[in-house]
Amino acid sequence: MELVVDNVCKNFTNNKGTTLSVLENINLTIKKEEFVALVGPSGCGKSTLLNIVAGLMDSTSGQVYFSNVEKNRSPTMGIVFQDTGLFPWRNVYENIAFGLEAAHVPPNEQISIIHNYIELVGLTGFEKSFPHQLSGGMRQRVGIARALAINPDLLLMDEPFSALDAQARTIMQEELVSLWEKTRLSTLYVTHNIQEAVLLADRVVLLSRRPGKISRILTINLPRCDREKPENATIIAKFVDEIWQHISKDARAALLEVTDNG
Amino acid sequence: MADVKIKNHMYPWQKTYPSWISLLSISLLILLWQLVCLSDVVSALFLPSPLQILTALWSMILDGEIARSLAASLYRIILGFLLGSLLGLVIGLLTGTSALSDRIGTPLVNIFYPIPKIALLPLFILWLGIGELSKVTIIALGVFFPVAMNTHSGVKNVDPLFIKVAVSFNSDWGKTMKSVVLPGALPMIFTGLRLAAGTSLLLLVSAEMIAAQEGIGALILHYGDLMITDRLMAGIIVLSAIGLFFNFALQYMERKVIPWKNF
Repeated sequence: MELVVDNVCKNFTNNKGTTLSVLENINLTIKKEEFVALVGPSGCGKSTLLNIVAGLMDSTSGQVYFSNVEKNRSPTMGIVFQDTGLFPWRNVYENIAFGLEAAHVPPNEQISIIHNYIELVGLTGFEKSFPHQLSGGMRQRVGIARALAINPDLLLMDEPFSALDAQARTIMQEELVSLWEKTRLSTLYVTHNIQEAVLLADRVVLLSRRPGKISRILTINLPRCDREKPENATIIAKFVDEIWQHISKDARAALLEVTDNG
Repeated sequence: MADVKIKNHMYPWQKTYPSWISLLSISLLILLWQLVCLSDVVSALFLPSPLQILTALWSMILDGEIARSLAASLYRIILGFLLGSLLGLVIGLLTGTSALSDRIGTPLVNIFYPIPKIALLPLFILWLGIGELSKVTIIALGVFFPVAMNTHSGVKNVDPLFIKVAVSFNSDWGKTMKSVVLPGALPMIFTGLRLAAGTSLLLLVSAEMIAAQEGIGALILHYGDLMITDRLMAGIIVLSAIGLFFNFALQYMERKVIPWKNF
């Protein structure tokens, strides 16, 4: 099973009636067990694309589909949101349970699944805690566990670590690498952090701005677990530099723009 | 093996409808009402038709009855609203910022708040006479509480970071109040004002029904006693118009005063 993004375009019309093209002719395939990172400056439409893939927003034209799906099977998606989107009125256990409840998994089967993922993301002992009692990093672990618990066919992550401080971010990136090696879910990961994309992804897709188009795709052909090793530092730095050269002009333009996405 | 297309699951939540649908549904309701009245199922004494009510309203406008009642009512409600909200604003700002006024004022507010204000009207008539003053006072009192309480919590909810910023620049008490606390509390203050608008209309009509010669409340009671239902309903329409006007005026002010809030 693969996820296919087929010629997707997205226009926004503001209340003055002018049309803004945010995404133009996006074609992308996420293969089985592939980790794809979507990188671009702010306002390039990367989150818009993720929302369309997630089925949370209409595209103006084009379509997104899973190809080669076995009969009678409806593929599922787990989404990790930027600001976690944890329900403040549910504790850690209940937050992770939500996706399973929605999928009508019998309560007695839920228990072992939830405990398994709580252990996997290192939340043991925090089952009864409410989100406001946790640090930012711990909260996003709950978000990740909630997405993984339904064993999705596609994992979508929308700048999951952007609210974290640099140290927590580094730790969470490392944890995500080992977590991903255990689950090997097809993943679409949106970020503006180039380093993060190069450390995590099999392929890095660069999106340009206004209109958002795929300007380049880089394959990071280095085993994920070797990327933090000192001897590979120069190779990683070269990738990072290459991407930065490619998008810095757009990123500078983005800084000058008045934001209207509140 | 097949392809499974991804649909937008948010569609039912994101779907929008054009605004003329509201107009159409109101028109249909009025039309239905008119038809029911034409069919003679209900007596015009109990339910006059929309046309009858409009005709009655028009004749009451022409002979100046509406203008006289409206002037008396507007005088009371506007004066009462202004006095009550001004006092509520001051007290709310005080109890919100000063711990001492909080200790003194908040218990008093909590004790008097649950009293249905209309129960105090006989007392006010005794103290202030049957004239305008007792009615304006009761409206002011009804407006005072929601404004004071919302201003209080608005002030309490101002992000302490903003206070720290102000204090770090050696901003004095007055400057901090004017430039930081008041703007930060404005959204909650307007919530209080909107709640108070409803209360003030309720108290206006109640007071006028109990003790007034003129005013929309007295007019409605008068035609109720005479069983002239279409004129009674015309009075109710005027009340609805006053309420709508109040709402629009407050909304307009809110947009002007809080341009940083997303509407």
